[in-house]
Amino acid sequence: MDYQYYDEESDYIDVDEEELAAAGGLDYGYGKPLDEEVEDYYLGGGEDEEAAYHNGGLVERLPQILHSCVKPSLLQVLQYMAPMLLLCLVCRLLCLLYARRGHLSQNQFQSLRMAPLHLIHLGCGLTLLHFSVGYRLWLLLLLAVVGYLLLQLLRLGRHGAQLLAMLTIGSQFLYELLIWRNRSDWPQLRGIQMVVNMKLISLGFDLTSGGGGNQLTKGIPNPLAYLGYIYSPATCALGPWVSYGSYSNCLVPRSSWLLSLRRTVANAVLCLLTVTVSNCLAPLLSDLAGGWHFLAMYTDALSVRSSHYFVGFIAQALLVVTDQRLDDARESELLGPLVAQPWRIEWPRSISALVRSWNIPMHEWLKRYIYTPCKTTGRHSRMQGLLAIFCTYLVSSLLHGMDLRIYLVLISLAVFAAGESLLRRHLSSVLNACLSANLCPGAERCRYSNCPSKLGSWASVSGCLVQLANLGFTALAIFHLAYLGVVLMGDSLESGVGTAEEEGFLWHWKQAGYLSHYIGVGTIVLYLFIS
Amino acid sequence: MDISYIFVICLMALCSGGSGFSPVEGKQKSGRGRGSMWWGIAKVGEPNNITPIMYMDPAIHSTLRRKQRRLVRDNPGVLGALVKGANLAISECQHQFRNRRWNCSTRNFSRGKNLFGKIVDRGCRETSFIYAITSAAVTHSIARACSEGTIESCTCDYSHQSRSPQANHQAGSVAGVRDWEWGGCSDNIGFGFKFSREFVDTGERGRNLREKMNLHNNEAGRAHVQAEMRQECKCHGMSGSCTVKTCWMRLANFRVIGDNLKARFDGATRVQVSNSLRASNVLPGLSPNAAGSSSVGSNGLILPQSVVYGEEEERMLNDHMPDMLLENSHPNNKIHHPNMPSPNSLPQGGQRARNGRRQGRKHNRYHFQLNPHNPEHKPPGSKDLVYLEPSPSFCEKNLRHGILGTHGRQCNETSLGVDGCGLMCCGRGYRRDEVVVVERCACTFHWCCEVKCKLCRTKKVIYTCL
Repeated sequence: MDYQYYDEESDYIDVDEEELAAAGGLDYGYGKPLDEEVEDYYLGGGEDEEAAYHNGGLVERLPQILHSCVKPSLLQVLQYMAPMLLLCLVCRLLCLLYARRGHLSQNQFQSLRMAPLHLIHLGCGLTLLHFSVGYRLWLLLLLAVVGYLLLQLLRLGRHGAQLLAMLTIGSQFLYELLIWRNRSDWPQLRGIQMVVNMKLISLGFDLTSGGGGNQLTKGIPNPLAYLGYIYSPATCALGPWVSYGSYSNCLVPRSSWLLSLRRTVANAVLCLLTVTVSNCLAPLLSDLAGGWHFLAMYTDALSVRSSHYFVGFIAQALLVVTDQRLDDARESELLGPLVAQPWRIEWPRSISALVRSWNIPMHEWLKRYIYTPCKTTGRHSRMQGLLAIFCTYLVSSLLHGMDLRIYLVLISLAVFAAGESLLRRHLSSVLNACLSANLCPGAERCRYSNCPSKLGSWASVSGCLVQLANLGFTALAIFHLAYLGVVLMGDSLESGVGTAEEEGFLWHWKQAGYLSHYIGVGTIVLYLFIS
Repeated sequence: MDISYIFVICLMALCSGGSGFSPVEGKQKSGRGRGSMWWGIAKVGEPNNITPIMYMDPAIHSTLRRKQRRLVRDNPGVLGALVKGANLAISECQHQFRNRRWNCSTRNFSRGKNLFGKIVDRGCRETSFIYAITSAAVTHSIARACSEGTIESCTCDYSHQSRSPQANHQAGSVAGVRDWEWGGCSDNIGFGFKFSREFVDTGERGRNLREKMNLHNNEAGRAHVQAEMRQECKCHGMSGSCTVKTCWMRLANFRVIGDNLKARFDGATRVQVSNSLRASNVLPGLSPNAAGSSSVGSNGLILPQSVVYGEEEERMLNDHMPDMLLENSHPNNKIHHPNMPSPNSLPQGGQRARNGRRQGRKHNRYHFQLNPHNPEHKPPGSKDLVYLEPSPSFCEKNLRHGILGTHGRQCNETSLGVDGCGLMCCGRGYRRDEVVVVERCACTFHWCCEVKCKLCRTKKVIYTCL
């Protein structure tokens, strides 16, 4: 076949000459003018335009982002959220209908007449989970049965509860090891199973503690009530933890529909907003941040944070729809029960305040079942506090499963938070100023004299100084937050192409020179020095 | 005058959209520019023009072939993307070659002339790059326009939504996995790919070596675009778990594709002999090259690659993206190793049979294998660029071959590379000029969204080739 080519070549050289002749006669624009144009191209700086096209300003890239990221993300989130909200609504309606017909009074727990309510919750919850995780639901059910068997340990008393807690956390590790091979399974189930474990442990402690105050939850709940609690549609998929007591208190919804509707809409809107920030806006800002490493870190961490807010807002929406209340009394008028308080995280007073607002129910759980018992069993007051903090963070890390990154972040958080609050407490008592990690409770109850709420924020010099110091601590907390949050970025991304960043999740820390850790250790050293 | 008369007739035939090509035109355009006239649309309409460019525009009409006009007519909105794509190709080409003797200059475009000039007539490396980058740019811009919704006949590619990425790995997980599927509005690479094949490859029928070269390079450009398609995902859930996952596909920045193609340009393969497997009735023994040159690879070497081509095409047509992300993912690609000719006996038979089946299904011009000029080199892969003849030096102006020469080009005195004055000026020497350049400097950003700059005058030394 190849001869054909040479054949044609000779042909086309002929034509070429023809054309050249034609170029001389007809189309003279080949010589001089062309040269000019080439010069034009070369010197004319088409390069600038090009750079603008490729790097792209914010304004230029917004429409593109809107189309390629915002739209698909919102679409998928809506697809995910709508059935969940609908199921929760169905659950609420059914419960309400049953309560109307059966004339239930509130002190009939454990009675058979409550069974249909548990059944409704269980049915809705399982449907929701089936929608969310598909066939893996069977695995979850199996784990729930194991959990119920473990619950029988409570017959041993208080120690049974502790044993239950340890076994639950241990079993989570076991599942993780077993299911680890199917990597796609576990990250999805982990969050769900974590909530289940928290419920299980809290149930154990609640049932065995004498001073819980809630006498109704004595005696192990029947399997239906147990499953209804574990798989209540409001809390099964995305958390948060609720205690068995508040679950059974809210079996019959009481809030007004209008209030619920308003709160649901507010939560849903915020949820869409945060997912947009997390998916599209934060990466865009991160791209634009370019050279400055802290900014890149901050925007990357912003993506992580807003992802957390997104989950929190969905969870809040589900809670509102089913009219499930949380154990913590904090309720916002606009949003209902609060899972996270983004405004306190984005502008934190201190790291410990930040940690408390990150996941309020989880914080409540840790405080109630880990921190307080640990604190009361110890002897020396200061060591006791530290031990309790350490215990809390240990349990919290273990609950999260086997994830080195989370261990590192939580341990760092524990150290930073402890160091900061110790230092600030000491400083505030030495300087007699409102510098402690927690916000002063108000002008009357503040123990210190140099308090902005007493003096007026910026009125006096000392007030100014106190404000500035607190501002500095806030800035430090923001820096810590960006530094720690960025590590959790890119969680379980399984893109087809291995990205270069995956070489180590510590890359950002290395890039920042482990600055945050030095600062964290520095605060502790400073505290030890001055105390 | 005679020639010009013929030329005018040709134009009239083109403009009227008459059936087929007159024999005169066929003769005139044979060999090279057959499928490349459409590049001219880059200069026809401005890409940023919001008003739709009509396909009836006579200037556009004359640059497109009949089939291309039909494609444009049938897919409203595609023309803007094509113009954008052609300009993207030109600017990227000029960026990649800004420091070389041949700087991807485009000529003062007029009808019936090739946009890049007569360099396209030669089957050299530069030509291979032009073909690859234009084809890649069309694929890219069409895919992007698709996802932006400017082309009416294609929508967001929802074909991904029915499939879970893990489905291949676990037998049981196919059913009932909802939110683990990846979906959403991905850049519709499938449409871009198919459209580019239809549109760009129109004139290349793969009949001679030059057309095969063009086809191969066009395919290579598209393969690069496809390989650079990325999936972006994000997980949401309690404390880093992955309860909710949102995903979408993104096309890479075209600069990345340009860089990759430039790398392939540097390592392009010179090919020599064409073996057409398309015509299955041509027996190997009767093939002229088998009798002529003895240095070419045996058919045993050729066949596996041809099957790879077929498989690859099937994958592309099926929009099976995840596999495409991995080069050499197909087992046949492993068979095809440069220094390991496949055994002639069994596999060949099997492959031939499969080949035959495929031919029965569809007439396929992409089934061919190009052999390297130097038999010791490995045969070109699907992403490699191929060329036929060594490039000219590009030093002196040669209008016959469409070479502008490097007279008057700027060069870098300190560089030892191609952009250095020594190489760029081909040893003719260079001139040193001091120029006062006025440029924007000390730019400050004012909230919101305004950048104010000062004008600075700086002296610059410019070196120009004599």
